[in-house]
Amino acid sequence: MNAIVSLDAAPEAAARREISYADAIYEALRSALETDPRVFLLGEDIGVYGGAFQVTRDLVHLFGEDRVIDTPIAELGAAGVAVGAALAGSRPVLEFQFSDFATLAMEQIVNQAAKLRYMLGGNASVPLVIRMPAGAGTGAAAQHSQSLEAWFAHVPGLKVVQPATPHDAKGLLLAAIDDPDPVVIFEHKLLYKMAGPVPSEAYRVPIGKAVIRRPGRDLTIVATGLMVHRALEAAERLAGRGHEAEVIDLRSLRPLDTATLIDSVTRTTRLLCVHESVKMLGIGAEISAAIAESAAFDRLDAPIRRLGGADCPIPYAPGLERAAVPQVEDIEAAAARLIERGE
Amino acid sequence: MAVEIILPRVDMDMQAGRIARWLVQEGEAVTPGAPLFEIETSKAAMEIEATAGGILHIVAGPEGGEIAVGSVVAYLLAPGEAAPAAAPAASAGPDSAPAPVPPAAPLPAPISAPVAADDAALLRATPLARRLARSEGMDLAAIAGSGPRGRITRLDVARHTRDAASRAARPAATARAGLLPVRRAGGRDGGRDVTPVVFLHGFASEALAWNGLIAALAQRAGAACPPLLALDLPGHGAAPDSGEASFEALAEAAIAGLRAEGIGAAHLVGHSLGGALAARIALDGRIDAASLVLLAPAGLGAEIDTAALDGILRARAPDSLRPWMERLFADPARADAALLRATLEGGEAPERCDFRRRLAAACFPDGTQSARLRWQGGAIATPARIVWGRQDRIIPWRHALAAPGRFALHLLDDCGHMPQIEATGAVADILAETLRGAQGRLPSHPDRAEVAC
Repeated sequence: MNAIVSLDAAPEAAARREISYADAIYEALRSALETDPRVFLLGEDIGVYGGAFQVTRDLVHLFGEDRVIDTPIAELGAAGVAVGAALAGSRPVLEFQFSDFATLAMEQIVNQAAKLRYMLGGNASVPLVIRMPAGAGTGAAAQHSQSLEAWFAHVPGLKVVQPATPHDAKGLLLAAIDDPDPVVIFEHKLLYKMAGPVPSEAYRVPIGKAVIRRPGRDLTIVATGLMVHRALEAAERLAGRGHEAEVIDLRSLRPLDTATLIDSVTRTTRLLCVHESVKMLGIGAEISAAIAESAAFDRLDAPIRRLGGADCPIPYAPGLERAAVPQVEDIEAAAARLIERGE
Repeated sequence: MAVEIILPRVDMDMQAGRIARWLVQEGEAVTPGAPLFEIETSKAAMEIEATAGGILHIVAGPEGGEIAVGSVVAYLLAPGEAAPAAAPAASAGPDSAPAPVPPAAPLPAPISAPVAADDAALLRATPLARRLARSEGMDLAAIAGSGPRGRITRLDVARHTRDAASRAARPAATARAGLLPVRRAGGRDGGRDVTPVVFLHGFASEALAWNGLIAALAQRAGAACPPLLALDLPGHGAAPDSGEASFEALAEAAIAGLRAEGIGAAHLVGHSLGGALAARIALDGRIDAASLVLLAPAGLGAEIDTAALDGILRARAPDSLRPWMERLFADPARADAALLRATLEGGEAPERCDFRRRLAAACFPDGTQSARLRWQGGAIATPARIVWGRQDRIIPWRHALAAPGRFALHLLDDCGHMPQIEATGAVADILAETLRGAQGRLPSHPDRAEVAC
């Protein structure tokens, strides 16, 4: 087994310090602003207000309005500024207040940021980081609750990451700021208050590497973002029924760490993909196909299964909102069916 | 060359169908892809096309009769070619059996007709089951699928392989309701006056694992061989996974199993956890121990390599199992593919896994041989020997020094935790000696073992 087994247990004891996911992002931004003069932030209400989810907090007071820029409510314009600045050598970190609003800026993200390196023959690059608060569960309804990560993962030229822990939120953001090309980070809104161990110094988590959060031999559950935690809880319940589910935190959608996935399925012989974004054409479909096309196909002892968002806009009614995305009991039931009944 | 046309399986659970009508008449020439006949099942009707060109020679009975799937219904012949003499299509009885073996055509070697290939592809089987069946040269059609809609899974293939192997070569297990399966070899047990030898396997092993030693002992004993009985302990081999998973429960099950076999006295041979059980049974008294031979027994000290036990419990694939199984032997090459496979298959059912986990937790809590396993305080009056490999990495051989004084100790070189496998000959010699000694003769020193007291 060459995959990394980790629960973000950093080797040094000092890393047991626990902070929230939002604070981990704050620390990454602050450290980047302190160490790299090319870095600046822009977004709606990220200055004096401190960000819709209080991620940027006091950064405007620490680094000034030239480096923490409140933009007008004009996403395409902000994205254009960010792409232009990145082309010119800056390292902008653009926050969309809600990832849903990125739909207003697709021209700059998809047609410009993703393509310019290629269209300019490698003579330019767009070292842009886009932060995307995403996901359902806050009662914010259809236009403020989507999980659109698969849209962006479909575009060559973009990298897409989805940190599930405070540790990865900091490490992947710093890796994204270092990256010479555009990186889109999906942050689940329900994770912002979640605490976990985070080293105080700056560190990087490699983009494009999945991680095994819990080893197991009966089934591989590949999950993203918030679903990693639900999958882990489901795995704990499954252990009570004598089943050992391996839980993989995908972390990066593009590039996709197929090697870790193939290795895992080869060992466990069963695969369940879990994501909050709509199931149809979601990352689970890509993972399923990657496994079916790989040497792991011959190791499959049950059909591949996916759990994803329901085929509808996220409803406002709390019961329906809950029903529209996979819950712990859904994961537990699907996993148990696969292991016990092979279906 | 004549090309067989068989009645294909066109729906999953189809075992028979009828030819509604032929679309080509006897003796007419057809080209590949031309519709030949219409097939009708309980669910559907469809046209079957010619897989090759040739002149049609119909061997099926009249239109409308039931025909078993896989039966030859016609041949496509080259001009002037005679039809192979073949049995007519088997008509399907009311309780039609699964596809019969197609009649053996005396003439051309059977062409693997595309129709037949499609037929096999229609079987439901997981990719892993298909691959395993392929590598074992096994016919999927012969395997009963336990998955949804009869899908064949890895477990089904494994079960089939195991069943076939045990049917072919191994002593049959018998079990009375609620009791432990017993595998028999050696002398007939007609004469109750001959004390049998009872073998108790170790954790995560099974009765079958004694086969090598049993064969070696039978050879040494020749015509005088007493009955040799190997028990499958609960949660192992063919025994159920139910009941309490504890050392005491295993001992009770073994005692009850032996008594149900009419056994009041036995030469007890136990390995590892089975060694502790054998000692426990000897001390219990309900079974009269005529002699006691313990191979790397548990129950004499605290240490045990539970990392290896845990690794064996967790492993799902040969690659993850191998490092742990290698620890059982002085020579890691002993952990060969066959042993890995048998071990994986022996422990993969979820209930079994669960049972063994609980048993391990009860016997070896916190990486320690629990006090409940201890037996060194008891008085054992029968001839008793301990056999241990000097390279045992699971339980240190020095635990033998805690055994009561009547025990003879045999320490084997180049041998790990599995003397019955790694030093089969020496262990068989020691056993034969013990049996002779227990029958009233003075034991002589076994030649390939060192003796201490």
